[in-house]
Amino acid sequence: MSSSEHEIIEQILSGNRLLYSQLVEEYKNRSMTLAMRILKNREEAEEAVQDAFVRAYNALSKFERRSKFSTWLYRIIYNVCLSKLNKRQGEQLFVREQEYDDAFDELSLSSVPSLDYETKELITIIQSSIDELPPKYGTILSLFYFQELSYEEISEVTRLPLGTVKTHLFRARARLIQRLTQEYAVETIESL
Amino acid sequence: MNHISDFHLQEYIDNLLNENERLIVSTHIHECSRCSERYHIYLKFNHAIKRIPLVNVSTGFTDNVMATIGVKDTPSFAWKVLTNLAPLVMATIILLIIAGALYISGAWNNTEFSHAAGITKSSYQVVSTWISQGTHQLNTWLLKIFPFHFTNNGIMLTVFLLCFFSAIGLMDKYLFANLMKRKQP
Ligand SMILES: [Zn+2]
Repeated sequence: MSSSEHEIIEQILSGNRLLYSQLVEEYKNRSMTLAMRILKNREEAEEAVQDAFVRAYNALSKFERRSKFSTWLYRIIYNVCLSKLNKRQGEQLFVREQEYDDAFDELSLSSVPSLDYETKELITIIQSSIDELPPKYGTILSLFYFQELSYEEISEVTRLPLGTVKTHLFRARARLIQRLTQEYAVETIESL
Repeated sequence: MNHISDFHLQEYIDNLLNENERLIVSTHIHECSRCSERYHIYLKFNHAIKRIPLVNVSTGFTDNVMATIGVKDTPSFAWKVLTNLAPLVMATIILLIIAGALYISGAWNNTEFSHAAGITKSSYQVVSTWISQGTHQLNTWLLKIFPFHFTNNGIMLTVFLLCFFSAIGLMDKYLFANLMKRKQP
């Protein structure tokens, strides 16, 4: 956590409450991206993020200064989103998807062609592929790439063991790349 | 030939291997075209995924959060003055429209109306003299500071003053206030 964020929190706690808007500004879009990966619904995600920011504000005095504000905030957002998910239809983020997971244990990229996409096109395809990922993979992927957390921090946010975080991230990336290369193969055949 | 697993390739890219493991992987990638190709797929993927834009919240999100937690931005003095003056300005405009309508329709010159108006006429004259003198003083003063031709005219002067204070109010709210906020730690 940057020292300026530390100072901002100190000032908010000592009465300059308006400064909280700076923290909201700083993290609103990253938080929204995380909520969208979990809830996959814009309205619900924004509601969850707003709720989380209010909760974080009310609990700010309990924030332990030795950890990063972002990790602490994402933990709150993650929890709010999970409870929303549970309320929806008893949906759970981390159910065991035996078949799905086992398929990935067999995964190998040995026979895939290299990615010749133009980067812009690649970005578009990755973006839509992420939306199709099961939420548990999308969430870990988001925490790693968009909230820029380390494996340890992801483990802290999700309360998952470090090994599980690593496995989920590996599978998420492998699945995306598999999807990309499949698209590539289709496009190559079509262009023939 | 043993190849590097995808799992270890990802760990290599994420910089999670120790020095010894890193050396083994990097040496192998240099020697093995198959692993080198997979390594570059992951690299390209990493590069692309980091360029995906974030999902943005709606406009006014921060204001909503701040309103929910009961913290409101205190408006600046100039803006307070301006917003407090707004009803007065509106009332004046409405009265002017009514008076104008009465005047144009000829009702203003009607005897009954003139009689009723005549009662307050003497006191009105005193006040109007003060106003016209004050306006004249202000006009002279303004002409020294803003030597524009249009401020010579009473109506244009009023328009000028309204625009001037509105501009200050708006600049204060949207420009200065933001600049001040940014300077805070
Ligand atoms: Zn190899």
